[in-house]
Amino acid sequence: MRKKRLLLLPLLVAPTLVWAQTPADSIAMADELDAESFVVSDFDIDDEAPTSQNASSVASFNDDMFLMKTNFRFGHSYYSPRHYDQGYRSTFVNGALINDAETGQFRFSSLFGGLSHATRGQQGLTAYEQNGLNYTDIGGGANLNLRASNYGAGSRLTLSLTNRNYIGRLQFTYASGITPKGWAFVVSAGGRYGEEGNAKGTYLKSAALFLGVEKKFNPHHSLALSLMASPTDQATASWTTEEAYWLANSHYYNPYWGYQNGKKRSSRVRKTFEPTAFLTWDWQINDRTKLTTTNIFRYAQYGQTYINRTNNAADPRPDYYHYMPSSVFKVYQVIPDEWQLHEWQNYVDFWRSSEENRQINWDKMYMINHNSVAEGGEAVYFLEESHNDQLAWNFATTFNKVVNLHYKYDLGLNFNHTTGMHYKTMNDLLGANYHTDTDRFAASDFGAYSNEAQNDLDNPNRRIGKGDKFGYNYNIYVNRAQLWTTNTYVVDKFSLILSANVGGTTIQREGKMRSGRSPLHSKGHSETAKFLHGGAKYQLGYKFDAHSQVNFSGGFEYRPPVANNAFIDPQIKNDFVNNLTNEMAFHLGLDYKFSYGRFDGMLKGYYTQFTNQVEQTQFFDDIKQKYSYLTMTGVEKEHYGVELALQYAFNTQFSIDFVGAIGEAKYKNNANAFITYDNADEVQWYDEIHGHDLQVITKGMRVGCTPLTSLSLGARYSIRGWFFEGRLNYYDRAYIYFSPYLRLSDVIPDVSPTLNEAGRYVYAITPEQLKYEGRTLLNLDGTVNRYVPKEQEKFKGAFMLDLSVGHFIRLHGGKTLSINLNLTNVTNNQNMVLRGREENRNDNTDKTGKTKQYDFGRNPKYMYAYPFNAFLNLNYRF
Amino acid sequence: MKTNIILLIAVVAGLAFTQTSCNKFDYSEPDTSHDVYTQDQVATGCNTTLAHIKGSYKTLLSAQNGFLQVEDDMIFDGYVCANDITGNLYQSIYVRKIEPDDDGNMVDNCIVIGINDNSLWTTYPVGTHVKVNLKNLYLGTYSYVPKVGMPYITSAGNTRLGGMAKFLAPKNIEVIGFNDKAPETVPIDIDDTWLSQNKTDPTFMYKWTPTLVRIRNVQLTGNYVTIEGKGQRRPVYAVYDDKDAGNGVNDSIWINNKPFCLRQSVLSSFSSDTIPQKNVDVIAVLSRYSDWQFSLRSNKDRSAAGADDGDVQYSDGTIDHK
Repeated sequence: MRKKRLLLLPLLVAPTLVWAQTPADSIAMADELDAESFVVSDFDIDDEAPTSQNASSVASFNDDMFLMKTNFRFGHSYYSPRHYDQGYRSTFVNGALINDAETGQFRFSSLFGGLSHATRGQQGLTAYEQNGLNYTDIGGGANLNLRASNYGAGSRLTLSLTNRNYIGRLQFTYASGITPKGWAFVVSAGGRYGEEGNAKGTYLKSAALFLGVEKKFNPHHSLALSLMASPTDQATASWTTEEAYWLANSHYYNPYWGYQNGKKRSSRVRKTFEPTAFLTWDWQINDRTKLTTTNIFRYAQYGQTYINRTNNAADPRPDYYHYMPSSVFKVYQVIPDEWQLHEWQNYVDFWRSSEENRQINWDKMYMINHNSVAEGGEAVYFLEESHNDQLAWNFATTFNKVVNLHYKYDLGLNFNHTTGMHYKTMNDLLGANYHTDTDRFAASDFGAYSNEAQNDLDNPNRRIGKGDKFGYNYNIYVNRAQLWTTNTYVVDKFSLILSANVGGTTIQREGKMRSGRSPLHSKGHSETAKFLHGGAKYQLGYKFDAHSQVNFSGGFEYRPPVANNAFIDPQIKNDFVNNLTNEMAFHLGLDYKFSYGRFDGMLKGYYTQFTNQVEQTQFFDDIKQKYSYLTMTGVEKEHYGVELALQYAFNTQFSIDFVGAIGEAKYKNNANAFITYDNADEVQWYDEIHGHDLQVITKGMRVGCTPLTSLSLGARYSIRGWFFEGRLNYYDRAYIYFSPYLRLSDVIPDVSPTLNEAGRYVYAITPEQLKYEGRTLLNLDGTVNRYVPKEQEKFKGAFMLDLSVGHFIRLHGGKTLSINLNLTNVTNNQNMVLRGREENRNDNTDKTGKTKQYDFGRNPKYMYAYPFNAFLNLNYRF
Repeated sequence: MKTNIILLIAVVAGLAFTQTSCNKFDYSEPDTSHDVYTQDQVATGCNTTLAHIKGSYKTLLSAQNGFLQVEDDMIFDGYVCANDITGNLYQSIYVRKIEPDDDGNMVDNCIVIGINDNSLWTTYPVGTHVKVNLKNLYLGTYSYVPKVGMPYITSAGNTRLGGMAKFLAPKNIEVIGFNDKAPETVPIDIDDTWLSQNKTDPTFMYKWTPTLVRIRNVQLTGNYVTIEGKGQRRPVYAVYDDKDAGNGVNDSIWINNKPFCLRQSVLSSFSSDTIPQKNVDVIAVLSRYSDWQFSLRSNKDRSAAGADDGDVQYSDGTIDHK
């Protein structure tokens, strides 16, 4: 009997060996390096970006050299793989999707910030390969295994010192390993602290705690419970204009802070706290069959402070355009008169004469409020906090089956219920006693105490004290269910992976306040939008020999719109965007990988087309003097490019590598547009000037703020526990976030032609005007010849040199100590623009084309790459 | 294990520290009892008077538009009689002084100080006694109204005298006291006869442009707006869509059945309030455009006709304390 069992053993084990993922040790040293030393989230000074750091930046892609290398290299350039939005990347914990159901995205730092010990075992996931966990989106993703048994027995203490947005980090982790009784425990605690970050007026205070317990009941069943939270307070930095940077004489000028009683105080403090529980049941049914079920319960609390004011109050932002020297006269166009030069100089002198002059003046706001109180008035200035909280339940169950040597499949069911809670509270009345809950824009239009000005008609003119909810208050409910499968067939040199999913999503809003601007559509439940969606994808592989392989891949995906783009004015109204439908993504790929002795490489090509996307932006319309929502529908984009990774090892100690991604990500069509206003039921969907549906002239625009060209050349040398690494990175073809408003068909200024002698149209415009303002070129009969929108700015390409050195020491009793120093931007390049955005503001003051002196078109806001910075990591295992 | 527990306690203590240290970010309220946003002393004492300035620069200050830069210390004082409390008088304070002229006669003069800032009413409430140094500022007129400020380019491309940059106000203006019972805070009482008899006399108009006035038993008329969703219409002080390039509209103030211009900003806090349908008494700033023009400081500057609620100063300078 025993002999028979032994004979059967290879048969049982063989499929497992065939299908086992190859746990290549390719990032072993990176692990010792401490992957988090490369994490952008610790580097990020920005708080207004639509995308954020993703989990996979520290994930391990065992079988994809390109993703493995770009993870570490390109993080600080805001490189986004294939330039997809973060919402196209899936982040799983124990196999359950944890992406935010309202935005589609996942903010790694909000949940896992400061817990690098607990989250270091990430598994990178590509879009097509069978991962045994879940259905991965087209941008790939990562899975975090937070089961207590996943952590090797022992303790670990890490101290990090840096000069980024914090100065110190301390982490301690203890893991029991699996005890003889089948228990496993892990506890990890840490904290990050920085009284002032690399940008003035910023700080970071964060604690983090992770607890895990797992019980293996028998070889078939185990149950794992993990709890984590990392409460974080962070004062953030702002993007601003080149003029403001010039006046402050620093590319790291931050206008968000000011002195109060001589102490620095930030106006933008972000508070995050996401206590989350993960409960996973693993059922190893037999050697070939497994069922994994995970529940995630997450209560996310996110708050962000802003200064607000009543109607008759000066804008407190020091870089508000009225306070800039270039608001005196058109500095880009005219030779100034004497008085203009004198006044311009006055502004310049004011900016430069004192740091306080270019920061927020808290004391003055207090004084104004005190004086208002003395007159019997209310707060003129106040600090409000906008909240985007969430209560979410994610459920995933995945069935894995290895049928035979040639076929295996996964089958899974996902469910998510999310309640998004959106409201604002009074954080600080700045010395006043109350604020009346009315809308200042509506008050201008309808009267200060009109019904329309009321934010809450059921409680008119309510006096708001500290901590009270006011302004807006609504919930968004999202339910999502998905059934999916992935199947892999291997026959000789061919492999075929087929995946498909089908699902349903519902979105609903519940208004908690009856707004005076929309009394019939603001309070109570909206209708429920329902979407049936799904998709399929494949990867066909052919292995030429033991050294090389080619894969063809492709697929399509119908995706529901994300909830935060689904409503035309979510803060007030229950109304959905018109013609809200699934968007569609169609994608193709080809990759070739090889490994010939010392020379390894991977070459990939891809093409992705998105259709029917919805994008929304909100802004204050200068001309209408109304807070506005601009929604683009029917957006089409295409992303394509090539990716290359090469590595040559001269010997076991010295290797060089190259990794590059050159792509394109642009809008294919002119999007349909409509505009709604906070204080009116009016919807503008028609371009009255040109007689057609309103459009945003997006054709040819690029996806913003991700370098479309990223190249990196690296060298690595290691000897006797030491390693040295250098990386020269080059980034280029990053474009600014373009303003949809400035490209509205009825906002781009018209120009009529004259006929020249040759009978051709001649337009009286300069190349400068065309570049910075755009023009609608008309025909002689006044019809549109073509739209030439304002040119989208491309940032200058730049090099960045990073160096790392580390030493690994084995101590007595199996203890180890590793010391790593990572130096970023060694050449101290302070002129590298990483990101920027145009403002949704028109240079025209009214419909007649009269212009302001300040030129918004030439004053976009930028963020620069950090100067030289260092990250020292001391890691002691015992 | 013992070491682990000690380390864990140490780390948790560290965490507690990072969180409890939040307290150091609890900001105490600043003491704003002192006037930190006006000049401690603009220079030495006053070396001129408003009366003297209006007398010396009569040609400049009676033109429709124009300005010159003041290069030397020229310091005068006065009381704030109107400000931007509702935003209807935008980015301006009106400084008035009743004082003897060179011949010893009591004269009443007022001038607009333009400041590109908002909430001036909190720093310069009515009754604030200020000292103003014109050095490096511009003196001139905007539409016949004497003004101190800096030039700017209008949306139509014309150069006009606007407000000074907000950071110049603390350099050039000193708050030296407060008296909301000062004679300068009391409007002069006028009627249609006063207005009609003198509107063809440039000297008279120059003398009284601008100033604070009270007119009794007048009718205000403005355009109507439709109340959305209700189909009702009501007259308001300013209909937003009627605004001109100056963000204002011209309503009418009927004084003894004669219409005069009531200039109203669409951005004021009461622009959308309903205009009273009955006759009222109003206090307003009197200025000029092509003819006399009135502007309310706020919608509190009116009361039911005959319901006197304040002191009135007559054009001969006498004050009737109610």
